[in-house]
Amino acid sequence: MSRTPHDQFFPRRAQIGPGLQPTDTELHDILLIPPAPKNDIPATTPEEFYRFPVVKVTDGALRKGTYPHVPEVWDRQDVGQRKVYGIAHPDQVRSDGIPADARGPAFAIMPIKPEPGSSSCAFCYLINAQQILSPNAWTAEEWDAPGARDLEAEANATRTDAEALLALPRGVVLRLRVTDLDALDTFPSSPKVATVTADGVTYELQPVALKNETEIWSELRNGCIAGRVFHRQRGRVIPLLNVTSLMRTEPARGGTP
Amino acid sequence: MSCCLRVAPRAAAPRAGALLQATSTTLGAADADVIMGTWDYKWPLGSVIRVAFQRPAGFTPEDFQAARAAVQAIAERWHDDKAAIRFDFSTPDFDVPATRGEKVHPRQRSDNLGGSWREYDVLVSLAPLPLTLEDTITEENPFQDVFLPLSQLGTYARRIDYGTPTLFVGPMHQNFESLAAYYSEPLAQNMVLHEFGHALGLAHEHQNPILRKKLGLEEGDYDLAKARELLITRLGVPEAKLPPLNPADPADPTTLFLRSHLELSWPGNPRFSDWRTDSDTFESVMTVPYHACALKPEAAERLKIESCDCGADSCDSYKAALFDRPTSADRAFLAEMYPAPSQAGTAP
Repeated sequence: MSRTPHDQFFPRRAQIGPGLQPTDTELHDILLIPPAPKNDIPATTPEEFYRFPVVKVTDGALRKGTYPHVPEVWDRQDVGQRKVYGIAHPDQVRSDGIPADARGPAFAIMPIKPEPGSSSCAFCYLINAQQILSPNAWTAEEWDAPGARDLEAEANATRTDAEALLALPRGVVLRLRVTDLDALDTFPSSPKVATVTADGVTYELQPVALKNETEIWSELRNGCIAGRVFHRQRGRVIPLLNVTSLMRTEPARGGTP
Repeated sequence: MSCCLRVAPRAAAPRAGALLQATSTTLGAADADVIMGTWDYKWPLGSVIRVAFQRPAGFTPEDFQAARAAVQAIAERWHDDKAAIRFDFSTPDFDVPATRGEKVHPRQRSDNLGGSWREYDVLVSLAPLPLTLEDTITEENPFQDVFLPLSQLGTYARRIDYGTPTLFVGPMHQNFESLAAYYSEPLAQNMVLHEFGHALGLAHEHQNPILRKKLGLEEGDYDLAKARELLITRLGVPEAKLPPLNPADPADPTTLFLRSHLELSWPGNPRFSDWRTDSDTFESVMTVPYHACALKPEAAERLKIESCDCGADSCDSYKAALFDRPTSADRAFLAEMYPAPSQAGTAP
């Protein structure tokens, strides 16, 4: 199919058929939910998404595993969208007593398994820009040139508390909450390991001495939200989650509300 | 004497070439939570920094190889058993820079990049200075003058496009018998050491905010007009690259350049930075050798630094600042910054 100038500015509608149902493959389409409209970012309507389809079968010049196509625009009336939207926006399920704050995955690898279930439709990688704080506390601070504008730090950088849920093996989710983080402003030379045993489970907590953990520092300063890094003191690669990039920001202090 | 290229997002780069862009920010209570510091460009402990060279145009292969060996030998003076970081010079050389073409932007970028892939961290240019680099991608300020040796700071070298030099230590004058012979000069050796110090992630010691405060060095302590004169007369910077000072103009390139190299403190939060704190002097390869001579007399007296007003190459205090190897304080600091495994802690 030849592309017209119109295609460049008005992506075609998604075409979903039986051949594009989830399959057992590592070739995944990407679904991008653009940032929420804000200030000078009007962009899309709130329910408009984009799919970047992957070539699943080599066909002439179209090589399997590549992403040569113009992204397709989707909205909530398209086939399969309710499956995806339900995962991306759990806040759309009405439930008394639960605030309707927008929430949901920032990144997800959506399940591929037989229906019925939580299978998505054709989409596999989900990027939901509405759930990502940008810049976040780690990335906001810049190096100034003489005479350059000094940008404000992201508001979460100064918070002294944080809370996160960590999903672990064996169906366990751990809630982590810390307060009085400013007590670490004078970082101890040998940060202590706090060990607690409860119900037979041992929990171990330790602030990381970043002076000698350059890879962790560097990844966070350069935008890592979730990934894997080498923890030198532990001598192994460990998952890393930047909680500040998923926190909400108090609007009065700047940043993304 | 050196420049460290730093990125200033959303800000126009100053016009006077690649600058060490320090700020006048004074650390205070408001900065306690600034998540930024010299760790931004610090190498991981135990790093082996792969150094490649770019063949300069106009020199014989034999002369280049001899010069390469000389520069390597100088850089390796940084090696220390107590510091968990070192250089490796085994990466094959890159070709001479491309002339302007359609597919490469000519930031002194090597030609023939389509050949075998060479992984490296730091790419050294020995091309004579000054150079003007043109970046055909950047619309604003596409021309960058390199009229003094410069290096990217630490890991920032890995942000520079493939095949584009990250460290410039080419000759600053034409009075040498061969390229290799140039690197036997005291000033050239000091420059090479200094720039490879930046490549290790070390900043200028006379801009170290903690040391400045400790020793009482203040923003207005340098005579910038004299500093400009010293750069021209001692280091051979072409006068046209440093037009006369015009302090009334906030965008005056000469003032910006000199302030950012001499007067302004290094930015960042001490919690997230490696700064030397235990020294009682500015003696370091990581100062610039003319900084003491550019001090105003009253400041030199207050700081107990031997100053001068001779402005000549024969100046003893200037010669004394031309360290040909890292000082003991430099070595101690590098070992503190990159502690060897026995000091850094190991996996439990």
